[in-house]
Amino acid sequence: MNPLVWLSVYWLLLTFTTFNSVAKAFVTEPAGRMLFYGTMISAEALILSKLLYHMVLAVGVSACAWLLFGLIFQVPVQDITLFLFIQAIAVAGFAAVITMAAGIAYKAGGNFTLSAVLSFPVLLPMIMMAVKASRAALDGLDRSISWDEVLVLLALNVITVTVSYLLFPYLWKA
Amino acid sequence: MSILLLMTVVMLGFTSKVPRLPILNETIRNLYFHVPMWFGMTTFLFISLVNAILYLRKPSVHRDLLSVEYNNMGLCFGTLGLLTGMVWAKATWGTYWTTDPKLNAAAIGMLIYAAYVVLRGAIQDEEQRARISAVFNVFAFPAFMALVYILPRLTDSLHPGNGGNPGFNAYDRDRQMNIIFYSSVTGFILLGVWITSLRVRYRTLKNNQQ
Repeated sequence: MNPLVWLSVYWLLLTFTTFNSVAKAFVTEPAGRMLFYGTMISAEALILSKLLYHMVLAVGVSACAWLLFGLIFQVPVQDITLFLFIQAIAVAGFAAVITMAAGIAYKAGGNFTLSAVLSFPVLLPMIMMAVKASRAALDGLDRSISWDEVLVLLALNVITVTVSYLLFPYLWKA
Repeated sequence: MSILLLMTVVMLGFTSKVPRLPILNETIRNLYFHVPMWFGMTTFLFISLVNAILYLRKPSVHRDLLSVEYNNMGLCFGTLGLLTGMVWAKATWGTYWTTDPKLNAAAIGMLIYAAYVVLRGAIQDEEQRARISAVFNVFAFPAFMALVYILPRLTDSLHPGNGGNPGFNAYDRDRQMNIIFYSSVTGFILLGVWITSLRVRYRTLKNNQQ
């Protein structure tokens, strides 16, 4: 399989996999437990725990995706460590964005489509950065070349988590 | 005042002399229209963001109204920016759109603020709607900035100003162009502010009537 085709299909797969695993972040809790959360836990604690859990979950699911996808289609990646590192950061970032969007959608009526609509454009810069960085890993280039993109991905993650942490209490007050 | 500025811009934009540069030639006139659209869009979306933050600090219907209307104006200007860009693209490259990172990133950035409008439509309760859309506004802004400003700088792009094409830097414009360009930016931004203030006043009156 053409390496570039492999790469694009793989990132598409990762995006949808992460979305499916994370999007039900708030909806599956029974109503009583939500009341419990509202009274006993501060909003900041709630969002941090949800973010952390979903980010770790996403990294785990993407590891499974890597194994299965590599089983079915041959992996043309030459710098595997860097690739998996980029994958972990990028997928954690996706999870952070989708968790926040799921929170917003939950407060707005619990519509699954709404969380997709909200998260998709915000995910796109992350996907584009990740694809660009992983292309360098695919070709086995020197690691210093992709360092800029990896830093941007990390920065985007940090920004997303911080903004979600700051905003969630306002969202939760209703 | 903005009417005077805009009239001047339109007249001078089409008739005055411009420096001839390779690839761009006469089409650099588009700079007078296309780039101010994008400057305007960024300004309005930023003002919308500021209003959203102020709304979260101290809720008031007026702030929410300002936030929404500036967002709408930002979307309008963004669309116009895309259209003027397409006209230029047809003249220079022979096609309306190419698979170019900067173009795609700008179009997707528009989607973020379109999603804002969708979100507003999905919530019925007024106060909740205002609060949730303010939260989304703040949340989406860093992603938007990364998309539109950071991403194109890191990749090669066909768009002027990136990747070796002549374009926006200080050496490619002479003083006369600068005057026209900055007055165009100011004129369009003032026009947008004027339209927005009219819309806000109209909405406030309609709300008071109900």
